[in-house]
Amino acid sequence: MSVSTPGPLRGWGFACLIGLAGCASTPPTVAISNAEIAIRKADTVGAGQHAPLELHVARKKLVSATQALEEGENEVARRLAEQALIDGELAEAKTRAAKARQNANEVAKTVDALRGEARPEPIPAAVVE
Amino acid sequence: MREPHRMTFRIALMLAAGLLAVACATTDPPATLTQARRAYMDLAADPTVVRHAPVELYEAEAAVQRAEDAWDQDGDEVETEHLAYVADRHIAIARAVAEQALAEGEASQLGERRTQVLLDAREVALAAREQEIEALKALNARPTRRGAVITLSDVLFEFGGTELKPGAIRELQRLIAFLHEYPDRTLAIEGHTDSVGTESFNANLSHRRAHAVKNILVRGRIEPRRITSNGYGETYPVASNSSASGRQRNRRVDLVIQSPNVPAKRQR
Repeated sequence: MSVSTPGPLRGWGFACLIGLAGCASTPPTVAISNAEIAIRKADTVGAGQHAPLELHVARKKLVSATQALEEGENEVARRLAEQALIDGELAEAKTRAAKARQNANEVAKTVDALRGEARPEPIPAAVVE
Repeated sequence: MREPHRMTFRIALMLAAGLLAVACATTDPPATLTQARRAYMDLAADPTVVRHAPVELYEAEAAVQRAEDAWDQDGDEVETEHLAYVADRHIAIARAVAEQALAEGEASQLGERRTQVLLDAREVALAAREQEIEALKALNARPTRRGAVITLSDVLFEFGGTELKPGAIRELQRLIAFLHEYPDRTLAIEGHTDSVGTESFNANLSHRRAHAVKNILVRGRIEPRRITSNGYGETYPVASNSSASGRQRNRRVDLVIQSPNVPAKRQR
C-alpha cells in the first residue's frame, strides 16, 4: 500500500475533500477516535468479563471502520464508527449493571449470614437428683 | 428533560407521520425502524426506566427520531437501517442503566439492613449480659477480680463435718441452674477453715468440704471438668481468728464463678 499520501486523502476521500465526485462526506476520523475511546473505557471497567459479546462486536466494527477509512469509503466508515461507538457504550453500561447486580447479591449474602449467626442457642434444662 | 406525557404525544405524532409516510411512499419502512419504534414505546412505558434512566430514555427517543427523519425526509434505506440499529442500542443502554440503578438501590437498602442486624445482635448480647448480672445478684454472688463469689458459710455444713445440710443443697440447685444456662462459665470451689486445730487437719477438712460441694454439682449434671475444688486450710482468713465470730467467718467455702479468660487457681 502506498504511503505517499495520508490515508484519509487517498482516492475518494481526496475527491470528496476537494468537492469532486458529488459526495458530501469527510473522513470520519473523529468518529473513529471516539469509538476507540469508548471501547477502551468499556474494557477498563471490565467489559471483557461482563459484556464480552458487545465488546467483541464493537472491536470488530472499529477494525472495519478503520479499513473502510483507508479505502476511502467515508460513509461506510462513518456508519461503522458510529456503531462501534454505541456498541462500546452498551458494553460499558451492561458491565456496570452486571457489577452492581453482583455487589447487591454479595451484600444480600452477608445479611443472610449475619442473620444465621444472630439466632440464639437453646438453653439446656437444669436437673438435680 | 421531557415530561412523559409530552414524549408520548411526540411519539403519537411520529407514528402518525410514519403512517402518512407509508401512505405516500412506495415502499414500507425497514423492519428495523418499525421494531425500534416499538421497542422505544415499551421502554418509555417502563416506570423503572422513566425513574432511573431518564437521560438515556431521552437519548433513545432522539435516536429513534433521527432514524425516522432519515426515512421520511431522505428515503435513505441504508442510513435508516444504520440509525435504527443505533437507536436500538440506545434503548438497550437505557435498560442497562435502569438495572444498574435498581441493583445499587438494593445494595444500599441491604447495607442498611445489615447495619440493623448488627445493632440488633449487639443489643441482644447486651441484654443477655444484663440478664446474667441479674442472675448472679439473685445468687447473692458478689463481684470480685477473680469472678462472682458465693460464700457458703459454716452453718450450712454439719458441725465440724463435711456433709452439707439439706437447706444448703437446695441453695446449690439455683447455682446448678445458672451453670446450665451459662455453659461457658467455670467454677472454682475453695474450702477455708479457722486456725483452730492443726494445719494438716484444716487443710484436709477444707479440701473435703470443697469436694462435697463439687459432688452435689456433678450430681446436678454439671460436667466435672468445669469445676475445680481445693482446700486452703487456714491460709486465707477473712477475719481475725481471735474472736468466735471471726473464726466462724473464716470457716467458709467460696464458690467462684469464672469467665473463660480468668485464671482458675487462686493466686497470691
